[in-house]
Parts: sequence; C-alpha cells; structure tokens
Amino acid sequence: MEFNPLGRLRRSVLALPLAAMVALVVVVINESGYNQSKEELAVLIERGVARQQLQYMLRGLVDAETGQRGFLLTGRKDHLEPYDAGLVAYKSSVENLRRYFENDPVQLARVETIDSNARKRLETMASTLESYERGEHDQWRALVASDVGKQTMDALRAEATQLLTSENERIGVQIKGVFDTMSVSRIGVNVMAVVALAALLLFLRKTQLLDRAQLEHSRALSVERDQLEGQVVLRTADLTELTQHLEVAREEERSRLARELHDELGALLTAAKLDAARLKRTLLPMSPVVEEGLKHLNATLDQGIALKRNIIENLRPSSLSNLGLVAALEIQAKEFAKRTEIRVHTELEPVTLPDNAEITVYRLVQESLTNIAKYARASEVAVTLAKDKDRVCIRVRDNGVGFDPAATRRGTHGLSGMRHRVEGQGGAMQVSTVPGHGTTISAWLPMKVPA
Amino acid sequence: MRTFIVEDSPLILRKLVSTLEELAPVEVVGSAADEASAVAWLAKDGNHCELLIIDIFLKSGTGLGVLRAATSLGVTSKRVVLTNYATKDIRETCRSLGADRVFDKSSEVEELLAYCERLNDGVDSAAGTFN
Repeated sequence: MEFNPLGRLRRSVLALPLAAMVALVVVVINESGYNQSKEELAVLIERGVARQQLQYMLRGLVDAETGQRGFLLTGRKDHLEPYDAGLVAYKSSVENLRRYFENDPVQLARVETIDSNARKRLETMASTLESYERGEHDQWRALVASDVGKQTMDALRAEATQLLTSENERIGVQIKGVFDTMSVSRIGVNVMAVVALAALLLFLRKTQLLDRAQLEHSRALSVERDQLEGQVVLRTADLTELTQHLEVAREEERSRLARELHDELGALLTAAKLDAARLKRTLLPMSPVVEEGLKHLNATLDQGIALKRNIIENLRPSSLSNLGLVAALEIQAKEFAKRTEIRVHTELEPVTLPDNAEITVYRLVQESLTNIAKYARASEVAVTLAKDKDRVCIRVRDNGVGFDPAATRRGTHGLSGMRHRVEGQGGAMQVSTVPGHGTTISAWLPMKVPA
Repeated sequence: MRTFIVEDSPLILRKLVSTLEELAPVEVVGSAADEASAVAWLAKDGNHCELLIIDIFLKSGTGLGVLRAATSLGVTSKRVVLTNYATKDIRETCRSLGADRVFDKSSEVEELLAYCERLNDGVDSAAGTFN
C-alpha cells in the first residue's frame, strides 16, 4: 500500500476546524436559545405582574365599596379608611395597567372600558358619601338601592374577566414560545452531538486505516531488512569460505612447489655435482685452465643448490618436514632471538596434528614473531604449545606495547588471514591485547584423528 | 667392495651408481627406495655388503629406520648417511643410531667419494672427522 503523507496532512488539517465549528454551532444554538428563553420568561413575568395589577384594581374597587357600605351602615369614620385606600389602590393599578398595555390597543381598550365603568361606580360612591355627609339620607339610600352600582360592577367584572382571559391566552402563547425555543435548542444540540459523534467516528476510522497502513509499511520494511540481512549472512559465509579456501590452496601450492624443487631440482643438482666430481677425477692431472673451469662449475652448482635451499625453506620450512613441529618451532625461536636480540622462552609439548595444521601453527608463530619484531618493542616473548582436551593450543605472548584491535589498518591482513586459516581448519583464534600491556595471540586446532 | 644403496630418487641413484663404480672399485649389489624393502634385503640371508649408503628421506619410512634395523640385525658393514639436510642435530642423531659417516648430498660429494676410496683401500676404520 502506498503511503501518502499529503493525505494525512489534509485529513488532520480538516479535523481541527471541523471540531471547532461543531463546538461553535452548539454554543451559538445554546446561547441564542438561552437568551430567547430569558426574554420570553421576562415577558411572562411581566404578564404575571399585569394580572396581579388587575387583581389589585378589582380589590381596590371592592375595598372602596366595602368601606363605603360599612360607613353608610355604621356611620363610623374608620370605615372610610378602606374606601380611601381602595381608591388609591385602584388609581395606581389602572395607571400601571395603562402603562403595561400601552402598545396593545385591544387590551388597552378593555382597560379604558373598565376604567370608565369604574369611574362611574366611584363617582356614584362618592356622591353617596357626599349625600350622607350632607345628611341627605333619602338620597343616598335611593342611590344605594338602585341597581346601577351592581350593573356597573358586573360590566366591569365582565370586562376584567375578558382582559384576564386574554392575558392568560397570551401567557399561554408565551409559555409555548418558551417551550418551542427550548425544543429548538434541544434538537439543535442533540443534532450537533450526533454530528460530532459521527465526525469523531469518521476521524477514528481514518486514523485506524492510517495506522494500519503504517504498520503494513513498517512490516514490509522489516521483511526487506530481514531478507537483506539474510543475504549479507550468506555473502559473508561465502567470502569467509573463499578466503579459507584461498589460504589453504596457497599453502598447498607452496608445499607442492617445495616438494618439486626438492625432489626434481634437488636431484638434478646433486647429479650435476656428482658428475663434476667424476669429471675432476677423470681429468687428473689437470691443466690450470681446466682446474679453474671445474672450480667455477662447482661454485656455480653450489650457488644453485644454496638458492634452491633458500627457496624451498621459504616455501615450506624443511625443519618442519624433517624434524617435526616442536623442533621447527624451537629453531624458529632461536633464530628470531638471535636476529632481534629479544629473549624467547619456549614451552613446547609434543602434539599430534595433521600436516596442514602443523604448517598453520608454524606460520602463525612466524607471523606473530614478525609482528613483534616490527611493532611490539618487546623485550621478552613466550611461545607455548600444549594439549587442551581434544585440541592443541599454540600461544605467543609478548611484553610489548600492545595495540588497539579496533584500529587495524587497511591492507594489513596478516592476523585476519591467520584467523581465516585457523577457522578453516576447524579451529579458533583469539587476540588479546591492551595498549601498553603486551599482546597474546592464541589459537586452538583439533588434534590429528588417529586413522 | 660390495655396496647397497638406499635412495628414493632414481636420478641420484643412477648417478651414484655410475660415479661410484667408475671412480672407486665399488660394486653396487642392490638398492632400495624405501625403508621396508631395505630392511628386508638386509635381513635376507646371503645378503652381504661392506658399505651401506643410506639416504634419510625415502619413499616411505626413513633412513633412520634403516639404521636402527641394521644395528638390530647386527649388520657389520660400514654405514654412510646421505642427506640434504645435514644439521648438527641430524648428524648426532645418525651417529647415535650407528652411522659411521654423514655426508651432505650436495656439498660433501667429494668427501663421500674420498671415503669410499679409503674404505676400499682398507685404510679407514680409524676416526674420520664427523663434521
């Protein structure tokens, strides 16, 4: 699956403003709903107040009536208190109502009707009281006995009831309005909640897909890496095998050359020497020229023989073939000590190794001694050869300056070549060195299996 | 003087035989290229020689083995070792195994011939130098 980083950016850039927008819409719905409800409730409260004023108005009238009647009945002045209070209450209530309904012509008309009726009644009441004051008792009794007061009050009450009913209707409408607003808010918020949830689910799903894609990708990478590692391991094994093979082949080549030189060339030179000896005896007595010639011939042959021996020695040390590993190592150590004036201490146990292992041991010691001469600046070297269970251990230790194994220069393959040879023969090699504290080179090789 | 030569290189053997028979009155009565056949010849009744010339490195086995066998068989002939590798150690080893002389095949050819002549003249039994 292709990995599209731009897609991810697009998706993640969208998510945040979307969430913000949802939140904003919810807040807006909520706030507007709240404000609207608040207004509507305020209006409701006022309507309640209006109803209350209406009640006060009516009561004011009733109080006035009662007070008037009481006074008329008893003649006591204290009954005029409710009458006065009722008047005041009535006046203020009517004013309040007028003010409240100033924008509502229908209700205002009703209020005016009520007011005119009320005024009539109040006038009547006032004149009744005046008559009483003047002592015109018949007059006031007639006024009271007439039905006018009751009719007026009835009309007034009817009008007031209508006003009240109308107000109640409006209140009802208002309350409904509040419920509607709350409903809208509620629906709005619920819808937004669902939208938000849907958006969240969508987002989560997208994230999940993304994660899955990433996981696939990293798995693919991991598989590829494992494959590459596998290839690297194979290649390394190939190279190691090749190197070991080359090292072995090289040593075998040398052996073969040494053998050929020794057998073929050696025999030829020996035969030539024999011939020269025969010649010398046959030609006796010799003229000086012939003698000189023969001497030269012998000298040349001797040089050839020396050269052959040198070459053979370098190819395959004759001491190894002729005297065995222990003796060969002793000779090597002695020659090294003589050449470099470094003390060499040997502890060599006779061991049985296959031929190619013996030459490997010899070469290892040779390489180590060469390195010591070149770099170690040591004063003492110890060479030990010993059995170690089913293997043979060869160890070369010096007290020189040591070296840093990590800092091997390119092109110096002596020790690593040695390691390949040793490992190619089923052995192991170990180099322990600490700068300033000498070096120890150890190798283990399997013993010769008795045929 | 009857001589038996133990040498594995055919070329050297031929040359040795022709040189010895020419320069010294040596009769080469037999040769062997390996330790086993050399010892077998020595052990066989009726095989006598006055001189044994032995090369150390044979096709199989070594001249040292032949020397040992010669000693244990009670062979009375003079024993001469030829070798390409005549170090002090080798010489001493050969001597301790009963060799009368050790000659380097390449550099002491003259000495070998001289020794054979002397032997033939019946002179040598006294000490020659072991170099």
